[in-house]
Amino acid sequence: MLRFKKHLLRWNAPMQASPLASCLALIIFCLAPKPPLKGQSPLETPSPAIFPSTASLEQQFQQAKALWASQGDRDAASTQFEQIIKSLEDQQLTPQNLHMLCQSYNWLTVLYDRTPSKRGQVTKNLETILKYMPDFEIDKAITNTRLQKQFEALRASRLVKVTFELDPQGGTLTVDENPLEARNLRHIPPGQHKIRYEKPGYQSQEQTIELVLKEGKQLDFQLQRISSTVTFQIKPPQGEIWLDGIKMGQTQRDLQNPDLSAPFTLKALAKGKHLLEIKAPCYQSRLLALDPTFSEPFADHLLDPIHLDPSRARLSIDSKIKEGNLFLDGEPKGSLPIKDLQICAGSHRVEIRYPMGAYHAQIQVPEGGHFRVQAHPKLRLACLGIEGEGEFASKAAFQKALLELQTRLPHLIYIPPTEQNPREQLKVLQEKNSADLTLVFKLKSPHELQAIISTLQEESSQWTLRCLDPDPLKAIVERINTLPALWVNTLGVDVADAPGLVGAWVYHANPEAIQAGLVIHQAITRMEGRVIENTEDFYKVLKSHSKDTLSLQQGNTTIILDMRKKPLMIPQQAPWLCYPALLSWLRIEAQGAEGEEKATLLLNQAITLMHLQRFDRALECLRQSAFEDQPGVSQGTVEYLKGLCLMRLGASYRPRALQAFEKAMTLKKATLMGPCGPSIHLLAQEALKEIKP
Amino acid sequence: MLLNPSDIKPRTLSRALLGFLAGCLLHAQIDLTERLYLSGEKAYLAERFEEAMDTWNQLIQQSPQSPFSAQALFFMAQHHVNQSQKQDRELNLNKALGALETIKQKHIAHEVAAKALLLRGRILSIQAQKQSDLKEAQGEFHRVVDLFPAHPSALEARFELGNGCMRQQQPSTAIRHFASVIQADPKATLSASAMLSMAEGFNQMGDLPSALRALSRVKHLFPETQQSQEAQWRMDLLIKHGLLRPALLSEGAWPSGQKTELKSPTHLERGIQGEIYLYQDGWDQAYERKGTEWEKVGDAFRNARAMCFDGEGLCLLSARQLRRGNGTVLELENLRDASGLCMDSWQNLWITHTKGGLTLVDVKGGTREWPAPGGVAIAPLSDGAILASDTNRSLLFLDAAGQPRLTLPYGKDFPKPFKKIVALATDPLGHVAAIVDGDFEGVAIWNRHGELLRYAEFKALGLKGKFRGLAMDRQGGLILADRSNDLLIRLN
Repeated sequence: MLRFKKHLLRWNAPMQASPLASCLALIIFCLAPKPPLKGQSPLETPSPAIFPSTASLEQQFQQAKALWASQGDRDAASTQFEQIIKSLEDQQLTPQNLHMLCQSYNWLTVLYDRTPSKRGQVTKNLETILKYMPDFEIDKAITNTRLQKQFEALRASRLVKVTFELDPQGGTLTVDENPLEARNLRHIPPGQHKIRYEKPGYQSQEQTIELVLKEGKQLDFQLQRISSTVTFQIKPPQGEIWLDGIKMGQTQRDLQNPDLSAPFTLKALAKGKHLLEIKAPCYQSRLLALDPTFSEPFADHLLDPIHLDPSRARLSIDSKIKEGNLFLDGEPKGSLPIKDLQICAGSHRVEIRYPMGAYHAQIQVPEGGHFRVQAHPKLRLACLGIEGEGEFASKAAFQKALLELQTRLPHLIYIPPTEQNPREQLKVLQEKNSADLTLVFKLKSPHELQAIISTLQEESSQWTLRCLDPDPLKAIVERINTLPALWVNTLGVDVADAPGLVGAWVYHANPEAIQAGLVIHQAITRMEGRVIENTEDFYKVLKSHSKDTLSLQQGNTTIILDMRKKPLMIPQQAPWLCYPALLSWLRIEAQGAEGEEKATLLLNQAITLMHLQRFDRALECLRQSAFEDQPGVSQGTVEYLKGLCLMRLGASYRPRALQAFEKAMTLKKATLMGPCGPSIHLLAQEALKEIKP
Repeated sequence: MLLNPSDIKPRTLSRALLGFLAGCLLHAQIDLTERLYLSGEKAYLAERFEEAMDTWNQLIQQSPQSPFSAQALFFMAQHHVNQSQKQDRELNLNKALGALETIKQKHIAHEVAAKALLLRGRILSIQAQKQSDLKEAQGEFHRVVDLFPAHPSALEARFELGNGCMRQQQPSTAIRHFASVIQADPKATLSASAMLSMAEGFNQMGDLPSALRALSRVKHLFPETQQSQEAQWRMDLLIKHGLLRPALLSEGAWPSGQKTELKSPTHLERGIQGEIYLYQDGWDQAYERKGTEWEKVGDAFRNARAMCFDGEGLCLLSARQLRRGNGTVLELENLRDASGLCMDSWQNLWITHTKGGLTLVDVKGGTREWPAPGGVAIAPLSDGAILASDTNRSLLFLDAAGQPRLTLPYGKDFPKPFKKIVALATDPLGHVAAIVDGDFEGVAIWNRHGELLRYAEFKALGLKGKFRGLAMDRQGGLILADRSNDLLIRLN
């Protein structure tokens, strides 16, 4: 909490000194009937590359004045002022520039008046000044009396002079809902007008008047005080103002002092204590207690500018796959890994785009904290909607279900269908590489849809959905969500339930297990301290164990065995799998993988491609898949699968298939499916028999 | 594009009209074909089979090329297969084959063709009586795999190919087919059967660890299923006989605690589901153990010398006749010295003779004679049979053609020699048990490769009697029929 020195705000400060006045002038300008600039929205800020800055214009303006005042070069001065006017009229005007524009016209009028060939444009210039600023005070130091009179006569012929008595000063005057600078003298077009005067902390007043040309008018506004106000500026200039937990508004940048906000006034402050909170993105929030003296007696309070301390945090992102690019809140922040990136504390949207797949997360970074993200890409599924315009049963419910599919597909990033037709959507996705998988529906009959899931490489599967089923998407969702295991924990020990014996009875073990002390034809009775009564208990412990070693007991002997993760082959024709989704997932996982992991992912990619009848692509994967010669799924398995693919590629590939099977036969430790599967040696031998019986 | 009526030439108009009429006629024809098909289907579902067949036949005659004809032909074939189980087996199966052949010839591109070829292969496989007969069936299964690789029938065809290879004594080829089925979808019910068959393939090849692994997978992937139970007892037997090999012990009278009045029990046999059959010479009658009772099987049959289960029922052999499981009695010559009976995997009955030779009786009752040494007992193995020859003093492991693939001298690996074999029994895993007599009096168990697994002397078992019958039960026990004490004894 901070104590504040209170000041009274001087509302009746001169126009150029008062930020509020500047604001009002800007509003007047915006409301003035001025043709819009070509190709520019009224709210757009001009690009500095196209328009000269205010400072350079100011400098040019001073040079132009000097050209005539000190050097007497009237033509050069005129040219300079014409250029300034052109530059200013081509851009959106700030109150400062507006004033400079009118001053330039004032100077040009005086110069033209002295140039016979241009004297005809004098009246036009004076009219332009009035168009831009009806209350412009002509510069009497440079303008002769004749021109002054001409300007006043022009003004009197078009506007009515209205004198205001305002109490208190410093409020907001609006004429027909258009705010004006609250000055004691204004020039207003003739006719009926609704004029209101208001000021925070006072009861506003409104009068309807009829103005007639050449008949000046005086209006009195005396406002009654009804509450206190608190006015302040903040740094940074843009923030949210909350009072007692209720949002009061947002501050805007002060055009005069861009480091600060324009003054923000809390109006109608109720009696009692108040809690003022100022929030700004990337800054620490400030809480200020306003004691009862702020609200009673009624007064206007001006606080010193409130400074918020910057809110800083760090973000580090690591990923097994290094080819990702980080986008923080949509802004590119470079490629992975990201280390100690300075960011604002608070909520951020993290997006990492990988060559395949993406990572999305909404993170909450604490003040001063170091937020670490271990990113891993997820599959992106884009639903392209339904092809064609045909009607079918429960169409609305089906379309709604499509929009809500993300909740049912938690393991992937779901991109719901857009209004575009499926082909256009696909084109965009392919161009931007913003999806890995597409889902599209085709109408088969009024009660049946065909669902087609495809990778962007056009490997696809399709299913028929019955629209009248309670949940037509259920089967497809289940398939997409099913990811088969690629690894299995193994000890290199085979066990069985032996009749009449308690425990998992060992009937086979690899040499390492035997060397570690394991005895064949004896039961394992404990694993990791847990009693093992049968093989079911054995496999339960094995499945849930995550350490590198596992202790087990045979009789009174404790043996420590190494735990190994062994590759598994996915099923090749399972109706419960979605092979295109599986293929995309395997491709994403393979991005950052190395060694045996990569070989396993490639081998399983090959199996999905074999399922999808893409034997050539399967072969490419198998060529990249390199295992060591070891027990279980290994290089022999790869060679065997190569042989199967080559066999499917036609008779011309048969000699190469033969070679692959012959090689598979030599790798005797390899098995099919998993470490407990049949020997590849045997299968390759049989395959060879088939080729050359 | 808009046409001005005046631009249309009369020839163009007549062509268009003809085209339109042809289209209408074709549409009407398609409509009628579909309605005929549906009418047949309706009759079939209402079990008005004759009406259904007539309607579908009409459809096939009218529109032989229609896809509905292909569908109708397939249903007709299925109907004939169903009928074959009730009557006129061969006739109905041949009718089914005819319908399926038409699909194969005329509708190979139709989606039902895969199923049709599969069914055709299955029928041919059922009809096969020897290895060479399986060629055509295997050809059909290969066609399904090659022509329809992504069709669900392709996996079934793979499975059938595996089964065919097993029957052809090619376990390693069979394993490859079974592995394809399992790798396609290990969770499918078909995979459970494929795993069981693959385990049997490994067992036949003598690869016990691989067989146990496959059985273990069935148990864990398909718990609480029939296949799981099947895997469990197979594992129990393989482990018990092959690996644990505990000493045989007598459990005493069987069934224990149940009082049974037997009269000269002489032959024992085990059925497909593990049920036990008994022949009592004193009653000239065969019985089946049901619950706690022995129930008579068929009529009385005098002086049975051997019995076996032939798929349809219990088959009994005497010196004069052979009574099949379906009750058919065959009067055969040359049965005077018949000593043993078993059935092979082609449904042929093998009769062994003490003076030598083997008589084969096929399903249709035809007989063949094969040379063989004099045998006292014979028992089936999946790849042939095992013959006990006292004259040769050896056990002969015969292949499907009756040729010895292995000869095991009596007494090999025994502490004492034996001279005779009184009874033989086998189990589906290829274990062979025998009651032996001579210096060594007792029982022994071998595996299909002739390795002696377990043995025990009656004396050591505390048994005394005249043991004539033997069966191996599903738990790995041996049941002995004691003729002199009118008892059944179980060894565990």
